[in-house]
Amino acid sequence: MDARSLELERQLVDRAQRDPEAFGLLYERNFDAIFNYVLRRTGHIQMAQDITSETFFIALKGLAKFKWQGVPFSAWLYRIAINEIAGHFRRVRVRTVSLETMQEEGFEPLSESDVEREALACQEELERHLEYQAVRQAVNGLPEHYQEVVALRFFAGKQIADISAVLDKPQGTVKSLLHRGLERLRHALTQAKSNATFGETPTYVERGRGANGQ
Amino acid sequence: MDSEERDDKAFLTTLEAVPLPNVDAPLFKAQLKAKLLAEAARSAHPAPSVRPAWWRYALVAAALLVVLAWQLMPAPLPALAYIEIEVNPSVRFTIDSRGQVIGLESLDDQARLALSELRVLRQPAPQAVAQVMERLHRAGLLKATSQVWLVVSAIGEARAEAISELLAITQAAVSQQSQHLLATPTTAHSLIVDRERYEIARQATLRPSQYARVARAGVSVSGMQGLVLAGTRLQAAGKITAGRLREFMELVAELVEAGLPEGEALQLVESMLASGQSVQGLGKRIEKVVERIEEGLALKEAVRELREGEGKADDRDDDEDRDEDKDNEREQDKERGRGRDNERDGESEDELEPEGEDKREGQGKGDRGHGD
Repeated sequence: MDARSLELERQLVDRAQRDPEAFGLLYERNFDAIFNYVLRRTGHIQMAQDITSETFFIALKGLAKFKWQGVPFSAWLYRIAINEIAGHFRRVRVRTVSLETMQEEGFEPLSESDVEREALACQEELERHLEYQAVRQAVNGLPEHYQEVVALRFFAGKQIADISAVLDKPQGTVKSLLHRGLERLRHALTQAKSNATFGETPTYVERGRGANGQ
Repeated sequence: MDSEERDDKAFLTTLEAVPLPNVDAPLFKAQLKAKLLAEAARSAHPAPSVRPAWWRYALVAAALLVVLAWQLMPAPLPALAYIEIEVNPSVRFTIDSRGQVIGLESLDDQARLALSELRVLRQPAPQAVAQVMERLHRAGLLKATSQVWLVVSAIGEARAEAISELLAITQAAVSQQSQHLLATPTTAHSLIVDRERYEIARQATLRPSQYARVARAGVSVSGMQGLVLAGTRLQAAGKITAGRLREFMELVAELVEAGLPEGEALQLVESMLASGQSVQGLGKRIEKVVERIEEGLALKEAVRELREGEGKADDRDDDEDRDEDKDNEREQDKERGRGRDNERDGESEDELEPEGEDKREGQGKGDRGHGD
């Protein structure tokens, strides 16, 4: 984000601290990124909806005390979302829930709720991405401090400087966490590949190896 | 470090090539925005204080009045019974020994919505039942085609005559009100359930119609307890979901009704589900085998067929079931979308006789109970 956009955002945040409409604008600007990030982290539509809602409600509640520190507003939102995701992962042992299981468990679109129909479509979209599912599982198996860095890099497409702003850590620390996290991730994916008894080898493992010159 | 960086970069490149899901959820987004803005507006404009200067005195006076009224009020009578009504949405009344309502509980969301702000406390049971039916009718949940289930269960040491009388007057109220609302008298399927069974049925979250299906098959109290335990085991092992517990119980009931001893039926269904079969897949196979029993196949042979069928076409069946499930769900969505969402659970209900034909307390065939 360039200096001018950052200044405009600062003004918007300033307004939002007094005017609910301005908070609506901040929401519009950040919803898609936060929702998709949370969804990619959890792989579960209901959980993603809950965490995203919680993230924005926390942001709304804390906005009055928010102090502008020269980093994009989204960094704060990502930080809240990360805490909420970690909280969810700690509270419940997250498992991948198939669409079918969701329906079996009574999650079915009701007549009045197009939102639930939409959620089912989102879950279907998630389940179509098999390679991503495998990577998500491997990321979730990493220790938490690696997960955050790798997920922001991979699921949110953030660069080192952005990650550093979100996590409020020096860039050097982020760099080394990312390096070690990726190493572990590569190891986990290779292991997953060797454990697989049938099916096609996920392409990321093959490509990763080739690229490493192994 | 250079080569490590190169490795990281290469691995990142491959990771970045993995297509990520990118979903668009405009409805959820709009819904959440509306909630957030409402919350923001609320906290931005807190309700102004309109307390007059003398509010403290008024508060003390009101408190004194409450204490006085409390002391003058007669002691509440003990609860006599629960009455549960199922018209697809279900509600439960708690009735005292004068036959008045001392509690009303909606047992599902539909009922909760339809009955919000309904005040029936201290009304006679028939009047309260009529009001609930009127609300359900207004919400489109009670129609001429609806089946009404009525369950009365004693609380404590209520006399059997008092319970029977309560059932009779409630049933008359249902009939009268349905005549008034639907221009056709509906006879409720009525059941009296002893406390023990009522508790088990509640534990298993069975609706009256579902419990009746199990009880009608002749499953005993201990058999029901066994069913609940087995269901819990299967759930813990991840073999069935909470939503399938009732269907699992119905499968056992179906076999018991076909003549298989309840212990054997339970063991058979549990073992087959534990081996990985789906509830729907097994349900279809049991249906076929029961048909064969009705055509004269010996029980032993039928059980053998059921076991032999295990694993053969199961995977295919299960896949088909799942597809079918999804199709059904979609179909049901459409149905619900047209506002026709209150006519489920029909399968087992048709098989039961209305009240009067088979109503008694205790256990054994024909004995019915419920809970949800």
